Formats: sequence, C-alpha cells, structure tokens
Amino acid sequence: MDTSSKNICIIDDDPAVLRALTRLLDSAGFSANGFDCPQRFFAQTSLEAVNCVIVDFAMPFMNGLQVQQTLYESFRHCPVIFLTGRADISTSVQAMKAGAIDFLVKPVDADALIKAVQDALAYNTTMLARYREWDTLNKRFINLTRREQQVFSGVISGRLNKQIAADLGTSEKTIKAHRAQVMEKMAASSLAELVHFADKLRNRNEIGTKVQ
Amino acid sequence: MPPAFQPALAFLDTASQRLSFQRIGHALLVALAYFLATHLGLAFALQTQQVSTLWPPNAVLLAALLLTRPSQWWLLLLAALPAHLLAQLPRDVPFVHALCGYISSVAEALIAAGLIKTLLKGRCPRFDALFDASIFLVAGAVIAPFIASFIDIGALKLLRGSDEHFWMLWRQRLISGSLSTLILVPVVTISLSKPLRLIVFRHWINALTPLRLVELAVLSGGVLAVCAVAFLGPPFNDETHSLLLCTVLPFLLWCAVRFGPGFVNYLILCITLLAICGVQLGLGSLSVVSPAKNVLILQLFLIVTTISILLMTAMICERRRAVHDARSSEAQLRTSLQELRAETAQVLQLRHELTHLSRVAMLGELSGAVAHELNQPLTSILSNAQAALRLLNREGVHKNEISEILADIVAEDKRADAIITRLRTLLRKGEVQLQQVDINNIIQEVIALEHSDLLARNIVVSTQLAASLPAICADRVQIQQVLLNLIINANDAMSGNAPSERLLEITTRALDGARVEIAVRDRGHGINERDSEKIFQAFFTSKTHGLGLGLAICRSIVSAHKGELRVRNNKRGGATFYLTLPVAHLEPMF
Repeated sequence: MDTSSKNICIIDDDPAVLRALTRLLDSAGFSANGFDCPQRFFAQTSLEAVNCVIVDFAMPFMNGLQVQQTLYESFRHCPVIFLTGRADISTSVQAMKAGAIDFLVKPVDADALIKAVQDALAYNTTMLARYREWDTLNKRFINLTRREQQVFSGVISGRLNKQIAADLGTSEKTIKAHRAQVMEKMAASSLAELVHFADKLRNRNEIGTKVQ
Repeated sequence: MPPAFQPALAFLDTASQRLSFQRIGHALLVALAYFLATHLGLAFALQTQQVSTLWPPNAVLLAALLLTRPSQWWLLLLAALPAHLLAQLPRDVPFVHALCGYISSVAEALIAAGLIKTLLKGRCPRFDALFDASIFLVAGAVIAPFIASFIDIGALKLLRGSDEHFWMLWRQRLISGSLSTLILVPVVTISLSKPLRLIVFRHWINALTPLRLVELAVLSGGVLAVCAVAFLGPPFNDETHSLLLCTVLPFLLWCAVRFGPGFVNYLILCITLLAICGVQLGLGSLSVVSPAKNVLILQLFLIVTTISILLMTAMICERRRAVHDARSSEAQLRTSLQELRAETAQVLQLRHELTHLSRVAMLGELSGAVAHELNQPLTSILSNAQAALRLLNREGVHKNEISEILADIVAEDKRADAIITRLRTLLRKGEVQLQQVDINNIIQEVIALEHSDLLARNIVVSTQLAASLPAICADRVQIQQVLLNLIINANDAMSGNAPSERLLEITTRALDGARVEIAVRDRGHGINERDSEKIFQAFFTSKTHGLGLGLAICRSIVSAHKGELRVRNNKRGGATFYLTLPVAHLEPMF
C-alpha cells in the first residue's frame, strides 16, 4: 500500500502533542495533517478523501466521541482511532461500541500507533472498494428502465418468466427480452451473480455510506 | 422523783456534759495562772501607789477568754474567783472589796473579750492583720480598761475610802490595765494558740537560716543591753535619759520588720520587765525624777511604743502578705498565660496541619486529572523521540527537523516539570510564606491544574481577569488551595446540569484601590438562604462524601490573610463566591 497518498487527520487540542504525533506519522511515511480543534477539521472541503482519523478523547466543546459520531453519520468508511489519557473501562467500551477501530492510551508507543493506522488504512481501503463496487452496481441499476427494474426484482426472487409475465401483465417473450437486457446492463454472467449483485445493493449499511 | 427536781436534773446533765476533764483542766490552769499573776502584780506595785504598775491577772483572764470558746467562759471565770480570793484575802483585804476587785477584773476581761470576739466573728485576734490588731487595741486596751476602771476605783473609793483623787486613781488604773493587756495578752495568746503560733511564726521560722539566728541574737542582745543600761544602770542626767529611751525604738522596728509580730511582742515584754525592775529597784535613768512620775513616764512610754509597734507590725505583715499574694497570683497568671500560649501554639499547629491535610485530600481527588495532565507532555516527548529515531534511520539529512524535535522535547519536559513542581508545592506542608503575588497568575495556574477535570466533566471556564490588578501579599499555596476548593465546589454543584448550563465564570477586579475581589460564579443549584453562613462552619456538607471542612478551612485561611469570603446566590441560578483580599502595601524605598 502506498501510504504517502493516504490522508490521515489528527485532532488534538494540545498543540505540542499534535506536533509530535504529526511528526511521528510523517517519519513513518504517512502523510498526516493536524487540527487543533474539531471545527477546523470539519470545515475542510474534502472530508470524503480522509482515509483515517486519530482523535483525542478529552477535548473542550466537542470531545472525541462526538467527533466520531458526527463522522460516522456521513462518512462511514473513515475509520476513527481514539487516543486518551484516561484508561478507564467505561470510556473504552463506549468508544468501541460506537464503532471505533482502536482505542490507544497516551503516551502512545510509535509501533502501536503505526500498526493501528495501518489496520485503519486497510479497513478504509476495503470499505472504499466496497463502496466503489456498490456505486458501480448502483449506477448500473439506475440505468435500468422501470420495467427492467421490476423484472430484476422478480428474477432475483426466483420467479419464473411465466410468473413474472403474469405479475406484470405482459407476455413471457417480453419478459425474456427484458431479462436479457437486465443481465447485460448489470454485467452479470449468471443468475447467481445477479442475485449476488442484488444482495450487495441491498446491504447498503455494510459499506457504510449514506444512500445517495 | 418530784417534778421540781426535773429542771435541776436537766441542768446537772448538761453541766456534766460540759464538765469534761479537759475543761476542768483548763479552768484549774487559769486559776493557777491568775493566782500567780496576782502575786506578780502585787510585786510590781510601788509602796506609795494604790494601783500597781502592771496588773497581770486581768491580762491572764482576757487571754484565757480569747483562747477559748464563749461556752466555756463561765467555768474559767468561776475558777478565777477562788484564785482571786486566795490571793487577796491573806493580805487583809475585806471580802467585799476583794469581790469587787474580782468583779471589775471579770468585767474588764468580759467586755474586751466580748467585743473582740463579736467583731472578729469568734476568732482570736491575729497580730499580723491590721484589722484584728486595731480591734484588739481599741477593745482591750482602751474601752475595757476605761469601763473597768470606773468599777474598780469606784469600789475602792466607796469601800475603803481613800484620800487620793478619784480621777487620778482612775487614770492610774486605766493606764495600768491598758499596759497589762498590751504587754501580756499578745505574748500569751500567740504562745498558747496553735493556729496563731503557726500563723505568726510560720513565715518567720521557715526563713530562720543560721544567719538570721545570728541576726536575732544580735538584735535581742542589743535591745537587752540598751535596756539594761537604760533601766538598770547608774542614773544619768535628763538628756541622756530620753536619748536612751529612744534608742530602744529602732531595735523594735528592726525586729518588727525582720522577725514579725511574735518576736517583737516577746521583746517588748522583756523590755517592760527590765524597765519595771529598774524602777522598782530605783535604778536607771528614770530614777532621776520622783518614783510616781517615773512610773507614769515609763507606762506612757511603754504604751505608746507598744501600740505603735503593734500597729506597725500588723501593717508590715499585711503589706508583705499583699505583696506575696500579688506575686503568687502574678506567678499563677504567668503560668496560666504560658499554658495558654502553649495551647494556642498547639491549636495553630493543628490548624496548620488540618489545612495541609485538607489540601492533600483535595489534590487526591484531583489525582486522576493531574495524571492526565502529565500524560500530555509525556506523550509528546515519546512520540517526538520515536519520530526522531525513525528519521535518523531514513536516508537524507534531517538536521533541522531533528533540532526542532529536540527543542520540543525539552519544552515538554519543562512543562511536565512545572506541573510536578506545582503539585509538589501544594502537597508540601511548609511554613506560611507571605509574598507579593499576582492573583491572575494564581487563577490561571489553578485552572491549568483543574484542566483535565473540567474537560472530563464538560465544564467550560470563562475568565475575566482585570488587566492591571495590584499585587496582594499572600501565601501562594494557601490562596491556590482556597481557589481550588471554590472551583471544585462549583464543579460539583453543576454536575447535575445539562451540558449547556455547565459554565464556570471567574472574574477579578480591583475594589477601591485597597482590595482585590475574585468572584467564582457557577450555574449549579445555589445555596439555601438558611445555610449561607452554615456552609462555612466545620463539618457542614451537603455532599455525600467528604468531611465538610473545606469552606471552614478556606475561611480561616482568608481571615488569616485579613480578607473576606462570602457567598451570594445568582439571579439566574447558581451561586457566586466572593473572595476579597487586601492589596500589598509597598514598602517605601527610603
């Protein structure tokens, strides 16, 4: 993985810690940006291009958990790593339940941090890939006509052409023609693949992206 | 038994109760003394005189009465009767006359004793007290002989008929009676009354070192030598005679001052006896004039001297006692004061320790927050160092970056050190150190200490610190303790608030140039009006944990700094604590 192209954001209200962490990640070959307050982070334009976020848990006005929840609403593919000075159990459970990738205690060892970042980037890559896949499928689906979409849903639910024709009130031949169109537009090579695609389209939450 | 005998029997019963062996013994003693005294008195009489120079029997009676309880007097006086008769009758004195003499003696003794006992509430006169001595003198040496003389001389005139003038005889009798009382009664009562003996001699005997014994010997020797010369030596002419008499006075004064009433009375007795002997034998400087005049001069001299010396001795003793009492009460006061001082010091010490303990406990509560504070510099130091290591492993020269990293490490280390130093200062017990401090500075330090705690509780702090605030003279650590306490209280008060209502405001301003006011305002639940003074009392708390000592200690710290701490509820909810401290006065340079 070419990590230099990845965008890692660090949010911590202590400027000295922020500088140190940024330097550390830079020295490990990542490209890191530091933000001393969450508002400034959210104000940047290309939030969807952020590959990983490292956030301090205890900050004034908006703490790490609130940052993570705000991010989760819109950019589910962006993993969040928490850093904290307090290592109490309730906080860590809270963080993990909310969907954090990892929860590290300050002072954080470089190796632990780098490993966490690498895991996060891997997750991010996976999620991005999934998203792209879904996006492609979605575009293809949108490309279908209304009739074709109806046929599509009929086919994947396992109904025979005869039955679909009866449902939609057309002839079986028409259905067969639509089916071929669907297969072609969806670029599915078999019925099984089509069903697979349909599953993927349905499970939007898995990919963690807001439905467009 | 006929009923008429009943009262008689009753009387006999009580009489037998009263007639214990001891009492009979006393009575017999008195009788004997009276008998001997009468003979002595007769020996003291000049041939030409009707009235003796010195009449001891009256003194004996008076002494006996003063030494015993009034319930016994009847027995003693009764015992004196046979003694009197036994002494007088063989001298061919008619019975009635002797009886009258007895009656006058008894009267004198009774009047004197009665008056003295009544006025002194039943006690024997103490010759080291001015009041007692005065009563004794007036009752025993003036009033009693005055009245008794009438009886005596009246009887004499009526029964024997005498060619001498009534008033002259009366005067002789008065002077003689007075002199006897003055000379003899003090000596006898002091010698025979154990309490008096203790009172009078205790003070002096305890101080009887060998040196003082020598002094006493010299004194007595001197007096007696002078008297021997004056009264028993060859007769001188008139001027020397008065001079010699006067030389006795200094000796008596010396004795009174140095040895007290007991010895002085003995000395006066000795002088009197010597003088009377001298006159009887016709010796001494007094014999230059007629015997009657001798006696008169002698008696008057002795009376005046004795009265003065008695009064003076009593006064000296009283003064000594007063001084002694004052000194002992002063000593007592001093020890009480010392004890009080020791206890106050102890209390102050305890309060100091309590303040320290309270501070430590407060910091203990903050320990999580402080640990968090220390984590920040530690994190940046670690990450910086590890970044530097990785950079060094990479190719290329990263000199600038590495120097930046190292500079940061140093700065962060100092930051950690500052936190630890601040903590250490607060934890130290240390003595109170007053110095000029900037209160804004202290507030910022305290907020930094509380920083993590505030974050954890989502409390927002807003400060409005006046720009050019005058410095105050205070102990840094203690003022930090007060502020920390107020802030922690404010945080606790707001713990139940909605996140938008968790605002802590701290403001400082100068009040009329002489004081600085710090206000800590929260939006919590406020203080109950009834409790607005109670919260500053020890062991008062509305929290579920803690001792309730925080505000009490804060108040004591603030008053030690001559400041004020009060609280007021806010209109919009919550409470504000106002801490007022006096401005430090700059010492003039010259």
